[in-house]
Amino acid sequence: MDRTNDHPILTFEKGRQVAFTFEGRELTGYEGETIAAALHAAGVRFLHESAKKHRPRGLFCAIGNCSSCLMKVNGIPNIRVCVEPLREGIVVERQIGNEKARVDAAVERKLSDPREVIEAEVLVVGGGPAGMCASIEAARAGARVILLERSAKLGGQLVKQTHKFFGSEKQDAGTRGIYIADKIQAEIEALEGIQVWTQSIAAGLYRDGIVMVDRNGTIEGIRAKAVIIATGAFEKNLVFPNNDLPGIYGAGAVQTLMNMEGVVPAKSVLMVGAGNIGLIVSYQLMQAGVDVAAVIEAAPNIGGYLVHANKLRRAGVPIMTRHTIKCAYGQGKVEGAIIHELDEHFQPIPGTEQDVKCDAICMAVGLAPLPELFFQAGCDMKFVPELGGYVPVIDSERHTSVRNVYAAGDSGGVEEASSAMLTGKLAGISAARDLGYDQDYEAKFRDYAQQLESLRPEGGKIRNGLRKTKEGEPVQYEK
Amino acid sequence: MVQKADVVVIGGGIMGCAIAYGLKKKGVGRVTVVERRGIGEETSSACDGGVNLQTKAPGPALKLAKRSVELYQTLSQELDYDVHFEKYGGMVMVDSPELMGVVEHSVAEQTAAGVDVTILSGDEARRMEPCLSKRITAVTYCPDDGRVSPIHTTIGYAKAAGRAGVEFLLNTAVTGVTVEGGQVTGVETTRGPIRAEVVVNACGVYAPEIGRMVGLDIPILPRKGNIVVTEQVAPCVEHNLICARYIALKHDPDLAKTSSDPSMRLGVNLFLEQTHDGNIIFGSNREWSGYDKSTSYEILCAICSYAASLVPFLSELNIIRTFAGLRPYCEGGPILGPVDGIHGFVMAAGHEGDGIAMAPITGEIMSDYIISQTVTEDIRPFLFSRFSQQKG
Repeated sequence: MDRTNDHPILTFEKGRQVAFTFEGRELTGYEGETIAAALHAAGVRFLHESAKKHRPRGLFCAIGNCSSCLMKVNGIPNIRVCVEPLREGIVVERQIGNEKARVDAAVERKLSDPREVIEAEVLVVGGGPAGMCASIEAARAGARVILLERSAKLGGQLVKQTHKFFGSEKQDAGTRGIYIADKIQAEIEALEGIQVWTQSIAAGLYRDGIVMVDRNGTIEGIRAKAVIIATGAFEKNLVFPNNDLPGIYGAGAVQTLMNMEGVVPAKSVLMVGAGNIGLIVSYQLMQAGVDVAAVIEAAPNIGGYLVHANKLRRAGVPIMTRHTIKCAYGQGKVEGAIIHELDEHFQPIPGTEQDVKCDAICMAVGLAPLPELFFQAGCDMKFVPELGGYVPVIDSERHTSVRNVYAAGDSGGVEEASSAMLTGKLAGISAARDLGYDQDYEAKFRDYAQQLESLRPEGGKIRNGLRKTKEGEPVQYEK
Repeated sequence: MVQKADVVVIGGGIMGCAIAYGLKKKGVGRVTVVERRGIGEETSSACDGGVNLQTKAPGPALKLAKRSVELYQTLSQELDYDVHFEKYGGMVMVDSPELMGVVEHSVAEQTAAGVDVTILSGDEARRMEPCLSKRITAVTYCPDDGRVSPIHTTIGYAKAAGRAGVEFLLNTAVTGVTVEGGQVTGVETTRGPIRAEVVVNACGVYAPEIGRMVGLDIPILPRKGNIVVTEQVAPCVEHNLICARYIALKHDPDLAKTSSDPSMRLGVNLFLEQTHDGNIIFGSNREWSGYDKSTSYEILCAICSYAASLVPFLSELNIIRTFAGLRPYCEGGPILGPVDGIHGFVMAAGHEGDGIAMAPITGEIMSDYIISQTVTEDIRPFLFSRFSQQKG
């Protein structure tokens, strides 16, 4: 069993042990963990078979964004097992392509009456660090808030960060991300003005101003005076042969497995990307007892903080700049990768190929904002590579071009967790102020804006990206 | 560089592609389709695939629809592209007593016009189509109603036309139509002028824009409909399902204004079909909101509730997509054929919700007209001049 038994920082509280069936085999896992985690702990990597080429697919994002882990559960196809909790006695099957659900069309069903649209002051979409901070600020200012979170618990990616944060004291520097998440969550519980809806997906933001919410299977409509979009980002992958092999994970998925579920993601990992995420996750892997074969980085320099890089170097992990992955190989799952060196034009240098044996490849090559709701709301959008992709055009108070829509966190441009919390705070006070809850607005704005500035290095990617959002025409799309 | 063509077809939707294909098949030399976006990107890909006879008003439109269905039977072979046409049969569902009258009247007319339509009881209908709710008291059943994939049909026509030598200028907008001495001489486009003595306006909801270029006021209006698509499920709905409201509203749109039922007031009605790939596609409503294609929560909820009241198992399915399409509404049916005073300017637009069903026959009769320059009885009821005659 690939489970973490002894972690230097984390303890894993698991539900009771339950049995379930996978492809006719009896397996055990813990109630409430994800099906993907239970399968992974049992050594199962191959979850889904692609529709046309019948290629094996496994977990990639582990947060319900991609569709590489669709499986059949109790006969129902298209279940994202990375977010589906394990229950006793379920029957899990590998899904081949786009299997069609079987329905009994003849059974008359009792229909519920149409539900009244719920009126709200501030609706926050996304319960990660940005959305949580936005909710707290808006509620503290006096607004009534509904906070939507897709998964069963708040925290987003923050609850997976076992490292100590940087920044200043105000941003909880020196505290591990997981403890910051606990602190914020306690604040949310203490505030009466916040209603938390978990297992609630914002399915659409319509032109009549109503957000359609799938609340654990029931559709609710919410008409909010202010909508703060804090949907976060999703992991990018690179294009190389076999980039879909089971065992190739987004860095977030690796964190989910090892820091949330207590499942050892692999024995030996090749890390692609030496930004902060690549470096931190490499170190976290070592804490979980995993060997990091190498960290490779296409750029000539390490992108992340040297403190993190040095920890790895001291442990003997090679960090190879100007290197990228040429291809992955393996029968049904990752068995290794061929890497090669790049010249100053990012072109591969022939003859520099090296074979790296590993059973997982972790992609830490950046994130792209999740922009769907901004597009649907009709916000002016721009494509800014420095900020990860499509981002809304926003002002310093986090207003988008649509009057009552605000952007918070990575969905408005990928930065890091401390910035996400601050942009969330700014969006929260801004939305509250626009609704008339303006006490101490100026002072708070100055404080948060200044803290945010201090987290964005002069001449760095974020500042360049933000400048670009102010230049040129927005992208053309049907509004 | 000035290009030359014998016929320029403006619009790369199902109509433009079918007409271009028809022209080339019949031996016209140079045919160019000018499309401001891509093939079938507007109404032709935002609609249902019903090829229904029993929803057509008896008269010239029904006669053409019957011939169109005949053409659909062999279209996949002809185009060498599977358009997924199948005669599954269609049912118009009656769920309230006051609509029974509308339906009986419609069936009498249809039968007189030679369409095979019969009224079945709710139980008889449920034996054939088990998904129907017990609320449904009767259906009208037409075995000749069929279904097609609108997108595959449009692409099939475009591919066959392309193979036959039709030139497609995509992402190219027409910016002007040139007329000299009452004769069309060509079009101006964002990629330069094209000389041609025949220009076909097959721009659907955007046909009035082209009309204004030659000083015509074309009375086609965009009428919006919201559509919902579910996940793919194993085959479970065989027939094209249409509610009786659809028929009632199609023939008397004012019913929506006076109804006591809120969803009726929103113009909500139901068509529902299972696509070749297994998705259930349903809608819709009739809405005037200009060229705005946005969807709304209120309308989508009303459509879903109404659909699930007639076909209850829908409530078990996941919705994967919603969108709205614009149908080219024109009073009295489409505008086809020549326009007085502008020789060479040919209309082929305004089919509202019948465009998919009518595309094959429209491709045939329009290409015949352009080659022969003879207005036949097929086209005469749909001439643009009908509007000036009304006024006069």
